[in-house]
Amino acid sequence: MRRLRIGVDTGGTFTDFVVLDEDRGTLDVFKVPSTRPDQADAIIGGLADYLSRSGDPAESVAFFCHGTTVGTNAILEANGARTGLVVTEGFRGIYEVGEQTRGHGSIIYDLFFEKPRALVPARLTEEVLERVGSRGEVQLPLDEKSARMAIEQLVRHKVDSVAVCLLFSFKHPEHEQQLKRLFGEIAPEINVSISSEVSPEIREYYRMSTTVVNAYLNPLLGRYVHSLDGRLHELGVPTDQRYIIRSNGGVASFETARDRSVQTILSGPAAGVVTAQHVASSAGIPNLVTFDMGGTSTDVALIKEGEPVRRMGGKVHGLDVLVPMLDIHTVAAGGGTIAWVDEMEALQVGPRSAGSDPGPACYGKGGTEPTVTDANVALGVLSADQPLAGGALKLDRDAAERAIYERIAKPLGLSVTEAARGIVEIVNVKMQEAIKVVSSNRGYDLRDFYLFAFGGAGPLHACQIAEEMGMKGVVIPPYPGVTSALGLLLSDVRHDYVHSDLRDLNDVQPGQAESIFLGLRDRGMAQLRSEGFSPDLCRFVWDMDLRYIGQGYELTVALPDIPHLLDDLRQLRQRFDEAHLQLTGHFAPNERVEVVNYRVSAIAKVPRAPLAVPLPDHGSLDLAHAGDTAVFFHDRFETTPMYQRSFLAAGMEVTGPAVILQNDSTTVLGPGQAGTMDAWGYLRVESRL
Amino acid sequence: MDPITLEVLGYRLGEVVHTMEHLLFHSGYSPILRESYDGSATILDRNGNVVVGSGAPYHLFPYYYTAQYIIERFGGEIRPGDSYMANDPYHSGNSHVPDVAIVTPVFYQDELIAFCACIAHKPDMGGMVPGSSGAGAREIYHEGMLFPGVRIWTSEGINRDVESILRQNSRTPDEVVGDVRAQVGCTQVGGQRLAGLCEEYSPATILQAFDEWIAISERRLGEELSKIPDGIGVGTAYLDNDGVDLDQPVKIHVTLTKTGSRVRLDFSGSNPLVKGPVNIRPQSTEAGATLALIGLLDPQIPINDGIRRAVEFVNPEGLVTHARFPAPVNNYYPTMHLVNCCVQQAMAELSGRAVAPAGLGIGGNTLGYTRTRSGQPGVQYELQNTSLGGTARNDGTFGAMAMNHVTPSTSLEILETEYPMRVTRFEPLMDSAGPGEYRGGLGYVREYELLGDAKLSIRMSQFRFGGWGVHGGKGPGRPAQAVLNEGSDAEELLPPLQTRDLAAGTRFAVKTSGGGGYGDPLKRDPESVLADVLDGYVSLDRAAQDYGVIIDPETLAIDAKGTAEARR
Repeated sequence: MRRLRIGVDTGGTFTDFVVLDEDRGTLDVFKVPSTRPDQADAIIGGLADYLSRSGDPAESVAFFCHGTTVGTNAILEANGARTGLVVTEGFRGIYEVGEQTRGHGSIIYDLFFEKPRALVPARLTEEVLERVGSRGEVQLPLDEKSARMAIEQLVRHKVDSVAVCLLFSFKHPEHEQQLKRLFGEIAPEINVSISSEVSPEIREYYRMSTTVVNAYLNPLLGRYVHSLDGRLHELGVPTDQRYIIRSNGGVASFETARDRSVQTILSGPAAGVVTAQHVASSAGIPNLVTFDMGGTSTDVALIKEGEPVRRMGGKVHGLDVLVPMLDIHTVAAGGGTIAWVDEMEALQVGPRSAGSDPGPACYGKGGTEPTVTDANVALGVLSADQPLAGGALKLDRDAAERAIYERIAKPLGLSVTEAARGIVEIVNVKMQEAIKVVSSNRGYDLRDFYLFAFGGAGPLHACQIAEEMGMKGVVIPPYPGVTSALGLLLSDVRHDYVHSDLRDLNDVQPGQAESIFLGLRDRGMAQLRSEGFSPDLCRFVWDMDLRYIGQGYELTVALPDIPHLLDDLRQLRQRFDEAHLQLTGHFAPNERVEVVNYRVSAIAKVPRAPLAVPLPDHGSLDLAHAGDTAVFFHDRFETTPMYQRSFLAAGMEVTGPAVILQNDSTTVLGPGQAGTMDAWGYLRVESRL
Repeated sequence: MDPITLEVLGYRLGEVVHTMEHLLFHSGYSPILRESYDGSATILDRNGNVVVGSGAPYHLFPYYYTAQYIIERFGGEIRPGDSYMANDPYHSGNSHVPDVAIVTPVFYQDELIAFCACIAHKPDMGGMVPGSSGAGAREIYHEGMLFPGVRIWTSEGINRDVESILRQNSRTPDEVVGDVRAQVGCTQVGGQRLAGLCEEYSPATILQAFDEWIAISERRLGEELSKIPDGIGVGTAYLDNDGVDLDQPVKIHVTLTKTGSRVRLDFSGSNPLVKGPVNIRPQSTEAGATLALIGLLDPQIPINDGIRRAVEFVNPEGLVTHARFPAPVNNYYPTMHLVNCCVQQAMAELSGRAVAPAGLGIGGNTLGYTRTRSGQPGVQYELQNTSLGGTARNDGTFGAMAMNHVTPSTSLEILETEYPMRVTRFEPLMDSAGPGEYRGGLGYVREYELLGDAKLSIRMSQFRFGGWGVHGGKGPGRPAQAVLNEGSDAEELLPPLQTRDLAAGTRFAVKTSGGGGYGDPLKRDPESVLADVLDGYVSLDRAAQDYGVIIDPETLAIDAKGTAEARR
């Protein structure tokens, strides 16, 4: 019997599978259409089909890892739990006023500006009498009578889930814990999230918002995971190595994941970043911007010196969440995104998407609204002869052009080509905006970065986007369509812990710091042990958040190891100064530095899938040449050769304009660009101007 | 230049300026910069015209004047590695003294190609009161130390002489110098990026892109203006007083004349200069007025000096909208906001395009303490926020500023950790929004209890004259307020402009006003009125009186018959 490790990544359009044969090290990849409302239908169906095709018994599945969009979808579609909120009396304004900023650009003085809808309406917010001060001292003990009244009121309002966030609870969690106990006593059916567990950090609004998101998602994710778990059992999959990837790029057991649902919001896109991280460090391309363009949405993230940028919190789908995560930015646009003409007669692209059913007009499944994919067909970028998704889909160019003509070209008085060009330009600008958010807006210079393009549509758009943004080039992995799913077989189990203790770095005693770090490590070790990992598989990453005294934002600086803490603390200061200079253009080596947070990540290694793919020993462009097609670049159609990627050997170069074909994606090289196949099977494209 | 290259370059310049802004907010020291984002960043061409900017949008008008001063004063002496510091509202174009600009020339191969600049509001630049902006100021000299444009930085680093003047005259020297360093750092990073663009595209291309980018904004504003009818619109509003003559309202008046693709804004009908610090400099008038135009016509138009060219200002010196030296100007924001509202009024009259005004009266309040967490004196500066007015398609958004993005509601856990005070209330105020088919956003109350002695400078306005509604909508139920010791025997209503000492134990509450309503409240969907009642935004009484929606107080259901009668 083979031993199989399976990664399943659910996207808006397709559910992608990667199956690794542990002993032989070979990969099978395939995709099936995603299912709604229950994503598990596609997972169980796809897995059962695979097993019956390959003849493997269900017991051969030794490891199962999943990237899910259940949390993301619940937020985007506003169908999470009916959620209540409990706050300190007198402070209803915290959640309602929220963050008063309006982002960047024209939105700042837009008189029609609207905020995203609050997940908890004011009528489901209750107040309790209590108050804790800034040093964690109890100024007013929790009044149990007011607590009981608040709980009973929320029971009357029939909430399914509750977020509790009291002032300074990160210093003194007892009042929140007391409320949680009272909920358990009075209304055990209500799911309770308390801020001192979900996000124990200073800044009340962000902590509150995070706790609300957790409460909003917990019941839904809990039901989903429970159902998926049960169906895997029914299928006969025995392994308890069942994981979900979380926003921090690490995986967690089903049980752990579902109680901290706020940490799974970026589950879907995280796996692709993990793949890119491994490519960056092993294939010698240390600086990447990941570009995962699928059917309904696109995710971007930045990898610097082989490490993905992490952030300790930020906005996800317009919501503020304060938990450690990969710095991934999502934009609601992809190949299936619908183009339309608004009432002002302006061409708009998105945010609606055609999904997998009916899909773009060119799928010939009855779609009549033009999508980005249809525009690419009309421009000759996707050729009707080249089926998508490994032959599962045949493209109908007439249908694509008809949809563009009826809905866009005719009302705007444009040619079909002009309209298609406009659709692609607009969607590319959206992509560039997204790339900017994770790069230049955070102080990184795009000229140092390659665009790592994957997802079904990523390689179609990447070369033009990278060139316009002045990036170094583009890297296209061997299986662009399942690159995310591959990351599920590359991720370690990871748990992040934080302890806040504000103190002048000079006053930090090594013993004191060590005991904080070891305390966090012990929690991590216990967690990993409970998930079945022996200590020799576990490792720990030590970080401190530092700032100059008086500053408000911290830089996270890594410590090599805690046994040498005393020496490290000295060097830490210097590394902080250097990092500060690099990021902000200034530093102050004579000023005092303070510690804000101690962080430990507990990581357990799991066996990994291979990154490199076998390439043909010999190849030639002639062999790879699969005919010519007419593709629209800039202002006209140009005769463009098409090549089969599977015939390209290491070291071979393709000069643009060119279209490179493969089972699960299509790459377009513009005029003046050239692509080289590297020894790992990764295609690198650069501009030769 | 071909449109694609121009678009790409516009985009790349935007990147540079966003990077500068990000660095400014994330490496600054003072809470007002790092927590409230009261700052901005910009790229100017070598003649000192704003090309692209980011951050507080009303900062993007003063930069032009700042750069003109520096070019004129230093001319050929401008060297690589220099940075200039300016905060003088009369000589270098700043809105008020705490807004300190840093301007850094950018060289490419020894040739001056541009300036990178940023503004950051400083917690204290000296003067009569902590925070430098006091109600008692009667001339600019009361508002802190003035730097018309001095060389704060050279290739050797900070100018130690200027640094010691700064340190010696500020109540918060470390924060001020730390912020200046962050400002210089971000403009230097911006300069390196610009030089990189020159390397990549050639300096001539970049300079041409500057010109064309400015021309695009001028053209787009002109095109939008062409779409509305020619004619005249008028806007008038009153500040309560100038903080000196308490019974004397101060008039803001604009006559808007639109002809073709141009518009003239005439402020001649405004009040003559007043004694208190509510006068504003022309750059502030221009900022408030232009942002109203763009907000109504097309907020997507990039703000740069191109839009100046589509707008003609008639704003003679000696008016409250054009302060004459040495009049005080520190409380410029409420006046600028009224200018913004007046231009909106005038546009509504002319074109029918209207939104109700946001809650009026907002400004910045300062509490100066002799001892904070660090053991040093400190200044707690907070921008009071407001809510937007109703529009033709939505209720006014709660908790959003009218003209800008600033102040992400300073965390009260941060405030209590840093300063000797505690917050006792922070909640929305029932019935504070202007009724309308689309109502305004709500006002809120924030109350502080002092744990140490402090000096309060309150800089607000419109405690007497509140906002208004449009197209049949109503103004907010009550204007903004500031109250000491509310609900006790020592309760006291404060005037909008005042500086005074407060003893430990005093409670100080700010109640902001809600936004105005849009359209007839009787046309508001009764279900929306019920939702507002359930959420505690509108009382049962006001639902009946303002909206004609009768709700049963027991069942909280709409009485359909009663409502139909009340609305008849």
